[in-house]
Amino acid sequence: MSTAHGTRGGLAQPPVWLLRVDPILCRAHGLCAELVPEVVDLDEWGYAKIHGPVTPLVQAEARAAVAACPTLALRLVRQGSGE
Amino acid sequence: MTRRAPAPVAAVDPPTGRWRLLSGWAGSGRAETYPEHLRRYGDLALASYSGPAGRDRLIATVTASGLRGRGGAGFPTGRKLAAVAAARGRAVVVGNGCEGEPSSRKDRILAEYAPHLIVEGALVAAHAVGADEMNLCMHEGAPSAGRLAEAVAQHRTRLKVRMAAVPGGFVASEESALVNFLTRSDARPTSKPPRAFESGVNGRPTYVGNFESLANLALIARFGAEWFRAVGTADSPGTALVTVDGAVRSPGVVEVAYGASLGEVLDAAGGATGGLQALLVGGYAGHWLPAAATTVALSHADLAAVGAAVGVGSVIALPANACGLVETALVLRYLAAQSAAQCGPCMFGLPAVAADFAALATGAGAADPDVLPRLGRRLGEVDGRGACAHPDGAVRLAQSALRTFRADLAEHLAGRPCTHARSMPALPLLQPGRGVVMAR
Repeated sequence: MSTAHGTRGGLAQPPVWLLRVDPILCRAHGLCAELVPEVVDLDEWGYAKIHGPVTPLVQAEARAAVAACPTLALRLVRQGSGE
Repeated sequence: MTRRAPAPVAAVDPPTGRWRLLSGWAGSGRAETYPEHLRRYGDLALASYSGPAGRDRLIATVTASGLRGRGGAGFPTGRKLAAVAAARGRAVVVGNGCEGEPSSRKDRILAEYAPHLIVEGALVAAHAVGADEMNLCMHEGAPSAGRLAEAVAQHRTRLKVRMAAVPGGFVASEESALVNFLTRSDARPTSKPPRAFESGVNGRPTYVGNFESLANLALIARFGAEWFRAVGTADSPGTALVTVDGAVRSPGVVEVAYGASLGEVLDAAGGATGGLQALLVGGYAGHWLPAAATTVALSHADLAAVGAAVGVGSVIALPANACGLVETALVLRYLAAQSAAQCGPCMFGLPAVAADFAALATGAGAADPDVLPRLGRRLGEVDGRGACAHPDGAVRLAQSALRTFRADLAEHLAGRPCTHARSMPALPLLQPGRGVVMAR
């Protein structure tokens, strides 16, 4: 079975977390790219661009970015959750 | 005196050949009355799909027919209906005949000449998903909205029926924008999720179907999946309403079987007026293909194989004496102006892309070696970053133009823009006041 909690080779796989930007809400404040540059870039107009998954190493920073976004445009979702 | 018994449904022969949706018009050259429509196609006979089992059978029939949405995305209609039917809450049906894509006229032609098929299709969809409400949407001032409203009034139904006049604009007829308009009178796209099938009009599960999709539903409900698949390809069954424009003798809307070559599509509109340079397939948010693509078949699979898509099913022939780069630059400027200005990458990205492209087309970019790489980077940066697919459409158009007109591009960059770069645009969008014409 291959769900987010599925097993591969008998070992439980931790869920993969992703940051999602609501493109309508994003107003290019850019705090997210400051807080978690490992996951978020800014395009040439300053809008958030996700360039990778949220690794366990930067999960706390990703949460901080979600909390810091002035327009609440960021969400942390589990991969495969359909969101 | 003998009384003639009313003709049973089975006495009506289903349409054969490529004229299905517009067969009435093809036969008479005018819109048929409701009695004429019933004589041609027979009763809708939704009663044969009554109860939950009937409803399931109806959806299964649509799924088996392989009908794909005719609004641009080509999503399987059976799956969409099943998703709406399975969602929690009383469903809503929305018929989308806005046709914001300026290269397309098929839906307004359908509303003008076969309005009863649209109304019946909406009734079929409503029955399938258990809806108690249907909304038929066209843009404000659409000339055939009156014809459709007349047709609606002739159908008896317990559903709440609403004709909606949606404000103009390219993105106002995008699925989530329609839902937003019908719910909050704001015809701008919204972020996904949620999708309309789970939470649409007033938060209810909503089936949004293009007018041409609905018209096909009206025939599939009558004649079945096997009949539907008798024409077309395995991957794209049925017929397509294609708006053919540009350098053809009789520009207009034609009905062709899927699987016809693009050359045959042009022939259905009287054939090319002269040497062709390229084809714009699928609308202004579609793809350029070289003139050699006249041998490619009109189907989802065949067009995908050459990096294009059916889209709204329009085909525009670019004559030899036009500049594909200039035409593209003008369309990109139009698409940029049509942004709902909600998402940054679309609001700022599309004008930047259009400006870069204009610099390439006019030759102004020849002096600046950064233009082409910058355009390439921006196209990558804009793609997929809007709440709706509007920016993606502009990206596809630009990228396909760079491929198709590669040789021209090299000349323009070398400071030798083609002699046609200063002539009048060939694409109809760019010629104000073009009327709707029909090809038979």
